[in-house]
Amino acid sequence: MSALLDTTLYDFRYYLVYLPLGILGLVRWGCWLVRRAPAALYRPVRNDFRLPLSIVVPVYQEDPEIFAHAIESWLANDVEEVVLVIDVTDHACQEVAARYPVTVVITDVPGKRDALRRGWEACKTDLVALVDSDTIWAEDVAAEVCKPFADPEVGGVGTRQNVYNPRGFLQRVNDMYLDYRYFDENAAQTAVGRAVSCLSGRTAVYRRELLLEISDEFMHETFMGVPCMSGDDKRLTTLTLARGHRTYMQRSARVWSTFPGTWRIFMKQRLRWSRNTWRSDLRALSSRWIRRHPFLAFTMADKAVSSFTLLVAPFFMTYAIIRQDWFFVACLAAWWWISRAMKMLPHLVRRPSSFFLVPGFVLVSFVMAGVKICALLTIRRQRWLTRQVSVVNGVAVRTSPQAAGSEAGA
Amino acid sequence: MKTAYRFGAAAAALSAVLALGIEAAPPAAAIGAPEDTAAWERTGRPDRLIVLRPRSVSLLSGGSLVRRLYPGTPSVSLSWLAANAGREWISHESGAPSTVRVHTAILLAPDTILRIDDRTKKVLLSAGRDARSGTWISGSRASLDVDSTTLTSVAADGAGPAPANAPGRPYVSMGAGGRMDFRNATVSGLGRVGETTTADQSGVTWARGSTGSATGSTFEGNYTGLRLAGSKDVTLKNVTASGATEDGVVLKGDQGTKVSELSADSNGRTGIALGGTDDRTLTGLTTHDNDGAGIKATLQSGLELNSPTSRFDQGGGIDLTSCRQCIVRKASVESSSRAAVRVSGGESTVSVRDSELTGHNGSEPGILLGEGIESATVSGGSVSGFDRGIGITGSGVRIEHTSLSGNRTGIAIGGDADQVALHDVRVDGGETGVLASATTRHIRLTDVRVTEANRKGLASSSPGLRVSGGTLAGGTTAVDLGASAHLEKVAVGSSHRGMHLAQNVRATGTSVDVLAERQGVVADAGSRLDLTDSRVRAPVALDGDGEVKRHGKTEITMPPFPWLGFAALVALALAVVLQTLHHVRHRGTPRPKVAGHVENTA
Repeated sequence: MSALLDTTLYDFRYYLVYLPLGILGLVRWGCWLVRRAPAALYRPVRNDFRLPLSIVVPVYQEDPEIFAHAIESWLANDVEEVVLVIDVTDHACQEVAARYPVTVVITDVPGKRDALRRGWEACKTDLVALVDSDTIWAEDVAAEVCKPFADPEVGGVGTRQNVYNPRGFLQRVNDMYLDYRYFDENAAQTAVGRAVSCLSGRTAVYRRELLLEISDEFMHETFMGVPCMSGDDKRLTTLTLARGHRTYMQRSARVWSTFPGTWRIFMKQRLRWSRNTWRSDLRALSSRWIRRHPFLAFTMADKAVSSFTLLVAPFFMTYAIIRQDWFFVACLAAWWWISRAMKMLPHLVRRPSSFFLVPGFVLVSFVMAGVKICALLTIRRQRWLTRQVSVVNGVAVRTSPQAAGSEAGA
Repeated sequence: MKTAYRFGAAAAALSAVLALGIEAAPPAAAIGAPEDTAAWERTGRPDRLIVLRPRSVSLLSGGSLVRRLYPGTPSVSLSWLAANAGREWISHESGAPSTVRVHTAILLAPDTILRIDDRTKKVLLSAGRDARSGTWISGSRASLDVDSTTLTSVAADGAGPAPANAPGRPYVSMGAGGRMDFRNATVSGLGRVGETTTADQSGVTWARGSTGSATGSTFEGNYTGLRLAGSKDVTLKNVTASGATEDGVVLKGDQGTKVSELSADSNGRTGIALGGTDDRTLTGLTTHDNDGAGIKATLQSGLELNSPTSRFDQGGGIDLTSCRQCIVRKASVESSSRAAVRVSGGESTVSVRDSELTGHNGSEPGILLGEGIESATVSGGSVSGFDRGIGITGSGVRIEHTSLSGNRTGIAIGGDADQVALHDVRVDGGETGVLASATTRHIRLTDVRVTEANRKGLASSSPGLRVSGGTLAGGTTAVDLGASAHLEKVAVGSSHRGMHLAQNVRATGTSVDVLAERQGVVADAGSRLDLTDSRVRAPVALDGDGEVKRHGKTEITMPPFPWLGFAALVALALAVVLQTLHHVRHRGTPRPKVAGHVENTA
């Protein structure tokens, strides 16, 4: 008996050191498979349903060339009206808009939320597409996004997004993140419960009557006593779900948007998104309506936990390097590469060369886990970070000296 | 009648002198008695000499009797001498009535007693500019009793302590039949370098045939702190010897010495040097920061050192040279440079038991069992933090029930070591557990456990090595054989490579259990391993161009099934299946129609 025990312990020690990482990895993979299986069964809605659609675009400090491309792509779709809510200080975009048959609303109130509200209040159609000013549409987006609305329960519809002409490592990584989102997370949420956690603000289509209904709650959102400025898309999505509507991701509707190519802006953008996600998901998970969407709750909780568990692997890697256990180091590095590549298969099928970016993607994801934790610790802070607007004393204001001077002049 | 009257008057005067202890008038010729002159000649013709005799005290200057005192008793105190000898012989320091300065050598003749007590709390012994002008206190068949007093030297110019190399530096010694006692005394700055015709003088010496004691006393900054040279029944209790130019304490040829709480620190050579006496038992010796070894024993027989303690002695902790049937028991040694315990010299038979030896950045072994020794046993205790925990180059060595940890090499067997047995030894950490070189013979390991070694558990080039029982593990290779060996009932594992046989090595194994992370047994070309009733588990169980012959119920298998790895493969396969399913369901999806400047449309 003693010999048997000795042998068992001896065998067990062989695995003991790295066993926790292995078990954690198994659990994480299990969670991913729970998402991935329904995502593989996702299909976009196919019918001939159509409703009149208007486009609302808040415009502030946009690149004029991209803006012009975007307007042309929207007009190439069969939409009733394009409403551009342009900040009074942004003369360049006003000049671009003047070249096209669009409705221009000039606003002197800083902040995206007020611009969106002004936009949908100015529209007359049943459906309103809220679109970012740098987002370029395929020619059939308007037709595709209408199809899920054949179901009267559907209150909002999102599209599939990709990076507009990605150049360099960061834009390629962003493109990988987007594919991961629309082929895994949003696809699974659509397939299982028709409850997508976030209809991205780059293009999200809502019933106008719903927008008017939630307008006040949208405009006066606060978190822990601080008025919210960013996170408008998550807020609109959760307000839609909270009212019993469904949210749907129509992957056949494709749009492209610009993404930062510098680390500084990339990190700021991720920090802002992470704060928005923490606020929205924590509020949703503590709400009663989430009980109607258990799969959505699962994916939210899974996403929150992953911020912490993701950092366990680099911890073990460091430990193995200190122990000079090079065999394990090589195995773990190889596993990171292969396993992440497997999870990114939808993207790799589309862009096989990204296989060589996977190690970099893995390292970025570790950094992003740290950013998420940092975002959780600064969850009350309200800043756009990539544009010169901020919340001061509960009011959105412009923060650049030039913009502020123009505002004063206006 | 007249003659009778004159004789009676003289007798009455002499009686009065003896009764009152006052000096007699010096003889007109100032020439001493023949015995005084002989004493002066015998003691190296000192410039000034006081000779204590049972009924008189002679004061000789340049060999001539200056005057004679009659204390009336054989027992004389230094304070009495200071009061009666005169300032040029012994003087009181101005402003310090209990401090006296001695300007003369003092010879204690047989049957005399000199007491130095708290009436003279500080005694300054003047150093001379040469040996003859220096001072000392010496005697034989006499007694010197020092109580609650500080004896210290003062330089010839009187400015401060006498330098260590001063030729006339004072010393104190007691010869045959004499007795010398120190109680609560401090003796500092004594002892001189010997001249061509005179041996080195220790600060304090109990010479052959003398006896006495030192209790609660400190001997500091002497040439040699204190020396027992052929003494008999001396008691040393709560004694400290520190800062000596040479050894702190020398016990040589002494008989019946009783020692307790003896410590030596910061001495120029050995802390405590032992020699010349058989069957000695010493308990509680403490040494630290000596330039030489803490304790050094030479040519001893039957020596027992119980609970000795050594801290950071530069020459090592305990050095036993040519010691027969010597035992070191429960030693505690911290060493930063040399061996904690060194055993060397022909005919050494030494046992080291239950000792705790700790190394700090040491390059020497914790225990060095050197060439030429007859036998040595290390049992119990621990050895940690050395370059080599135990270094063996001698023969007839047995290491048992001992724990070694954090040594770069646990046990290194080299030189011409023969008949070395390791039994129930545990080696943790370091780079190599047990290392046996090609020049060694008849090495046997039983129940040896090597764990957490970064490189090799056992590396042997010793022909005929035998390993029985135990566990051998190493970071890279658990057992590396460069010569023939036999392993029996040994667990080999927790390493990348279980066993490695160098070229042309023949080895056998019975009931050996090998568990490795990569390779079980690697046999180089020309080598052969015969395994009987054994088991080898590893991803690559057998490797290399050599032969591994299986006998009996020998199993060569994979390691325990890697369930996690299997689960990982299943997960990867599921990912591929799901992607395939997705791909099939969306085949034929057209590319979106979009303006030509949009590229990322796949």
